[in-house]
Amino acid sequence: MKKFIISIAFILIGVYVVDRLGGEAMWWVNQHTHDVSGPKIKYLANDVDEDIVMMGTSRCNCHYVPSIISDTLGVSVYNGGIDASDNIYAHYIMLNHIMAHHAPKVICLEVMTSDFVKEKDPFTTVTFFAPYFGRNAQADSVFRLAGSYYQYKVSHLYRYNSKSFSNIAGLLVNRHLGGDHGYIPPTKNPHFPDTLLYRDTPHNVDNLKTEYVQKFVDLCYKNGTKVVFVVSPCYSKIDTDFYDVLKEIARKNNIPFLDYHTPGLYHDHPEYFKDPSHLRADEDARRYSSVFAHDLKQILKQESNMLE
Amino acid sequence: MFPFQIYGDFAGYSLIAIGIAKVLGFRLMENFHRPYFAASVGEFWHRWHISLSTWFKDYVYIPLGGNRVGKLRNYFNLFVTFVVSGIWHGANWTFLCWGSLHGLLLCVEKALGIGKTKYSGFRKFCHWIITFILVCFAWILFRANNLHDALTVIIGIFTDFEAPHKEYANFIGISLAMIILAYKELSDEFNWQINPAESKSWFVRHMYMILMIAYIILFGVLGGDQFIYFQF
Repeated sequence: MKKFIISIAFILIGVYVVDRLGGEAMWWVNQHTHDVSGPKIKYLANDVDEDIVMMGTSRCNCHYVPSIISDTLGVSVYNGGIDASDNIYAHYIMLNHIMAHHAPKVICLEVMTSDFVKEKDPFTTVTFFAPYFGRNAQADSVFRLAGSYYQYKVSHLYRYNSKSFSNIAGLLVNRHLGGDHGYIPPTKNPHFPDTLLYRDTPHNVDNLKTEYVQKFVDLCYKNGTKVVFVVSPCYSKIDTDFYDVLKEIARKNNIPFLDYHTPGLYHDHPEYFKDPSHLRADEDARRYSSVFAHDLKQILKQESNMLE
Repeated sequence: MFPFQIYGDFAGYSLIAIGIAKVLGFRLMENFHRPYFAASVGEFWHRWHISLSTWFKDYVYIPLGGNRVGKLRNYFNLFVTFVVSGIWHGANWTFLCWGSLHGLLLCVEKALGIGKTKYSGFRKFCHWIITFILVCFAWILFRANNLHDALTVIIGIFTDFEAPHKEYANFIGISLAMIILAYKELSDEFNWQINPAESKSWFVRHMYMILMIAYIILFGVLGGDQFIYFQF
């Protein structure tokens, strides 16, 4: 029995020590990696200082060209879209980390249905931000919802569980594609959608998600940041009430809502899309960015001194 | 990679079950005996999913007459047993073809007398390679969603010579897992006396356990629903 207790104690202490040392080593890897999204998250969490920050998922990542928006508006712009970051929970975590060191003048959030409808597992991608656990209490509160808060609290190594291979690979090979202030040009696909599909208006609203959309807005207002909701073009047909849930939040908070999906921008050009949700090539993103920059300029002009 | 994925998946959770049973005082039979070291398809089935193979032998093959019948009838018994084994995995043509292919290979082996003698050296190595290729080929049928997909993959093997898409993160993850698996399989198969899990040194044994726990925390797929074989 004594031997057994010594064995267990040795293993527990050993795992604790290796976990802490391994956690430190993986933090170093995470901060020096050149993987797909690690450097972008690191930049947003520590260094972003641009006036306008675009936020969202892959649609944001490859639809907004900061240099075009910047030239039109005369302010600095960073595209903070993170591939596969899924929904408002991930954006809320990221926003907290940004606001901890810098309050941009404007945050444009590329909203999607996943920001307000129920999903089977809505917290999958919050693991992207697990390495930053313990640095921002508000951001960490999302991990409580995801059910991984105590796992991350107990184990430092576990925080890197889902991204460890990607982080390590990014140390060996530069996989970071970030070119123009966070914008990653779409990889040109030879195919494009051949039919304009109709999408029903979603009615399975997730109230927790809409609550987090509101929290996102509140946090921006608290820091003096103007919020703009935007939906970039999609190659699918929808009814005018498709985004009503988000439009209602926007209306209540006096947030501009730029919707390029409902009126069907580029629906007469399927060749501009590589799939129903993503523009096809760099030139398509540039074309759209010009339209968006022009509209954003009009909106911001109405806000006196916003950009001065 | 599917042959190693399904082996790691299935043999892994068999070992978990064996380990848990052992803690509770039950000794369960070994379910996998390094199947990819088999030098014939017949030997493969003595090493792969041993509990199910034994069940099919006792409840299908032997009631059909087993090998105590004429040659042709024996081939028929073998073939039927593997066709039934295929259907047991699911009502899909792919499983039927997979089972039939294994049944056919076993009949051919039996007709050629392969597997009766113990091979060694280079000859064993050649048999091992050929068996491994045949088993992997059959896995295509097992893995595919339908026969069309399986055919596409098979045609691709002979016509598509482009380098596979490089995904470095997956490459590192798979390489690391393969190194550990290869080391474990080789040391068990060839009785290497350098297994840290069974070291005489208390410190080495415990350090190995600690590092393995840390490895699982860092790299393990710890969510639910990940076992392939749960569907069967």
